[in-house]
Amino acid sequence: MIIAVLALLSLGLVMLYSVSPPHASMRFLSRQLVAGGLGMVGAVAMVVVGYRRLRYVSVVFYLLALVLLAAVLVVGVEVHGARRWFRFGGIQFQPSDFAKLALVLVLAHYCAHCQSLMRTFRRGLLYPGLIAAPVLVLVFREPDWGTAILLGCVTMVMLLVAGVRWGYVVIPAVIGGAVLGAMLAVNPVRSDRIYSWLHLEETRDGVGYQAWRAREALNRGSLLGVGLNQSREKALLPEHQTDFIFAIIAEEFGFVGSVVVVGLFLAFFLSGIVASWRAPDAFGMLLGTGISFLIGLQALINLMVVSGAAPNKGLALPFISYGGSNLAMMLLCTGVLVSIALAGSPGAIVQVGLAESEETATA
Amino acid sequence: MLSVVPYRRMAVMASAVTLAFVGLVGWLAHLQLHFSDDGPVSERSTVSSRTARPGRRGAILDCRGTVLAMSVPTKMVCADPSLIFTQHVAIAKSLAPLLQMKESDLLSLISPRVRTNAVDGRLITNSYVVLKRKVPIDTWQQVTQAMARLEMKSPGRRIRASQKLAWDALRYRSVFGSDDYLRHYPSGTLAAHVLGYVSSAETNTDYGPVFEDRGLTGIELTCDRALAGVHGWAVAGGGVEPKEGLNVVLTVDATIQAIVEDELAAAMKKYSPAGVCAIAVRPFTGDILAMASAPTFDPNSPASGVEGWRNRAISDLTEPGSTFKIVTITTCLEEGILTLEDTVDCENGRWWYGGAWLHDVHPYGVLPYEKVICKSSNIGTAKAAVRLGPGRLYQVVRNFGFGQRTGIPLPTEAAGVIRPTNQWSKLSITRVPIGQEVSATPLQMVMAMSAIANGGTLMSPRLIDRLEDSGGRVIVQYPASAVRRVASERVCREMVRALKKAVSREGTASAAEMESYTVAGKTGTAQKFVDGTYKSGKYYASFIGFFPADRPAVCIVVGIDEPDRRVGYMGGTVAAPVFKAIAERIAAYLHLPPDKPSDVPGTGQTPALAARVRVEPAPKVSRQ
Repeated sequence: MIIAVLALLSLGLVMLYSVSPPHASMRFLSRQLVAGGLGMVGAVAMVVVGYRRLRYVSVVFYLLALVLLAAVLVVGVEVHGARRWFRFGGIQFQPSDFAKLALVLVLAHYCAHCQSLMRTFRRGLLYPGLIAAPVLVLVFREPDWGTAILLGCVTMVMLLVAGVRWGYVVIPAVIGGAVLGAMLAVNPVRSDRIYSWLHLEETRDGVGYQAWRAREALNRGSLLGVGLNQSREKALLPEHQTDFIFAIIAEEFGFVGSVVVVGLFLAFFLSGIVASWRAPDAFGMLLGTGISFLIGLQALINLMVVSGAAPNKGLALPFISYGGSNLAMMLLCTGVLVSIALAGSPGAIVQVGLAESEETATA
Repeated sequence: MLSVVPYRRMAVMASAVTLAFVGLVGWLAHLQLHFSDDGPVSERSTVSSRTARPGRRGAILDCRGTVLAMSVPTKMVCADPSLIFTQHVAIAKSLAPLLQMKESDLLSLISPRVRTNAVDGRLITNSYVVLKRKVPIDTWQQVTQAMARLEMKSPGRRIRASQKLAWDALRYRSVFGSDDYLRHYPSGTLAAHVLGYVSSAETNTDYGPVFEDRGLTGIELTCDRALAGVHGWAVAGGGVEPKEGLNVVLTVDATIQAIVEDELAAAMKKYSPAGVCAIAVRPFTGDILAMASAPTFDPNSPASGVEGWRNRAISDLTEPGSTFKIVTITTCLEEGILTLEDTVDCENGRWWYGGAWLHDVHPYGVLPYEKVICKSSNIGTAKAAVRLGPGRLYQVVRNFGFGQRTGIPLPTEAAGVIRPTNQWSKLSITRVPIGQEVSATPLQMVMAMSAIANGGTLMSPRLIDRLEDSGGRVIVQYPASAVRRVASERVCREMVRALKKAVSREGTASAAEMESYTVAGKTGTAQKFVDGTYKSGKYYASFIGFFPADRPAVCIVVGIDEPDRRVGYMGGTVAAPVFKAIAERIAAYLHLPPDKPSDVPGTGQTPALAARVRVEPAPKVSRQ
């Protein structure tokens, strides 16, 4: 468990260091710090409150998320042709971030509730499917295919862990994949992206420009990197402070830096899994699994996109990318994980963990 | 209680994700550690972030440093439609009058072209369009000011900070200028045929496209490689500065050029010919002081005067007519066949030779050869040539440079035609010596006359004096060069004596006589040989002369193509007055010491000495 906390702490530091170089102006950094601080407070609150109590509000959260997701389609701010954000005063808020947590919560609640009935079709597939579907469809409509796919995967994982038959999960997944493929084929933007992913050289001045610049950044990084704040690609790479921040990290710190980042995410993911493994009850186990996979998969997909191993999606890198609501939510999730971990650990480590995470909050 | 199944599944899936992470590390190692050189990752691919910058083209100067052609720094106004985005209407409205473009044209240029109707993803648009090239610097400043003043309409619900950022980006980066140059000819049509003109073309370099001026004709073409600058390139944090091209300094004197063009324009009005041309040469060096041709054009906008593009001074091929007689007589003197005092029977204007009649304009009886030149008798000259023989005549005509290009560094020079003797008819020996059955350019004629003026050395025409770098350091100096000796000084002095007679009351060129200078010269009137016949009514009138006759400073040819017959068509009546007008003004400008009537031309003074007694050039006169 100490590993989990240490990984968190290191990630926090990496976040602070890595976000600052791409922006000479303090504006990005300060806003990120505010969001981070809020997230930390939330995380500590989660630890103090304990994950079990979340079960009582899970349905409320879920409904709230649905309302927000529906509302964002109507009154959200349109950026780059997609309505994903609310604006309250000076702060942007992305409801799909909240929806991630809410969906994981409510699924964990449901599965824990109907635990023994999960092998049946109705309880095991239909009801949870009906729970997950509205969220997926609404996110999909924003449109935010990346998040929708991510949530779909996490849902599958949670249902599988909850004991649903393989067939019940795999068959809808295959059908969903087929439908997705069909929609891809008829959607020019998506199919362009796929094409450019496969033919990077041809499209590097157009659709593939971003991916090509990212690869260029990785290449420049080499083994040890060009050094802090020496990145040249950050002038050329679009979205370098959000989705493509990893490219800048890789350029400035080289292969060593990128391995450290990947390693930290892996460590986080594994400690999350260990925490879930040791969780004292089914709800905690499912919730921990859901959150671990949520963050782990999001990081994995982002890194793959940046390194050109997957087509462009539009998912942020957890803890590191610029973006307030995302960071706050991720920290909140971490708080829940820590809470689960503490519940499954001997008392002595509870104290250490608490102290450590408070230190994190003040960092 | 929990079964074992969930944990097994969890372990399986967690391992899958772990494996994926490990695989990612391997992929990153492949990308970052350069195990292989293939793939899109290579040094070459960084090239596109460079931008090429044009090098400034060198200037063309006259012999006193007056700028005849120069490249003025301007801006190429470009725009980034992806930044302009929501404000294109406002920008088009404020910039259209400044750039003198139609608002609708501008609007369509700056509207993003690749507009993905994105349902979620990023909108990728084109980020570079050229709005207008060669925009003057002051207009460019107005453009930047207009952009800074631009009132932004709020594009909708955006947070204020990002809006401000976007506005700043819009103001300072959405419309930007890159280096560009405009070829400018400050004196308009002055020396247009010598200078030529340029066209702007896009060349692809290793560092991206660059717009450069390339010479299309004239000195701009022949010196294109010297004039052209070396383009540089810029990258983030460095690059290579572009290098300026070399300046070309001509032998042409802008003031003399202006005088000549002025008088040619007057002649155009007076005689309404198809065209006129004139060349002024320094006989001792072959320096071209002026070379003009009318009608002319403005190299600033060459397309506006297509009919004036032709440089008649080097490309007009005509039968030289009587002016050619000097070549014949000079050679006869040189060979010792005759002296100027020897007499010849001019047959009262009609001579039957080789099965055809040869006529003189005015009938003459027995004349000394001095008078033959002075009166321009065809019969007298032809008889001399018969004694010379075709082989020797052909040789001499070639020696004087006819039938081959002079090598002046200008395009479109004609070589002229002198047929080899085996193609001559029986008549040729009487026609070639009086300037028929041959064709020559005015430049060839003036160089031949200069050879007689300078004491017998055929000079190669010199148009480019030197190449300088932008700091005035001489890179290449082109010295005067002689082609060959064509006559002895003694013969030349005798010829000058005869040619002086031609420009007197008794000669054919009395109209060329100057007030205070002695002039030596020869008229020419040739019926134009068109479509195989000598068409009556179309003449080429010319005069070639130099002054002061015994220490010549300037040799001038004036050629008038198809003058209006009602005004006159003889070289003596049409071309000689133009020569006089030009010569008087050049003499005044050069402050030549008068040699008439008080100053008796130095009989003991050789032309070679006269060359050393060069007249100090006058201070530069402003010419408007």
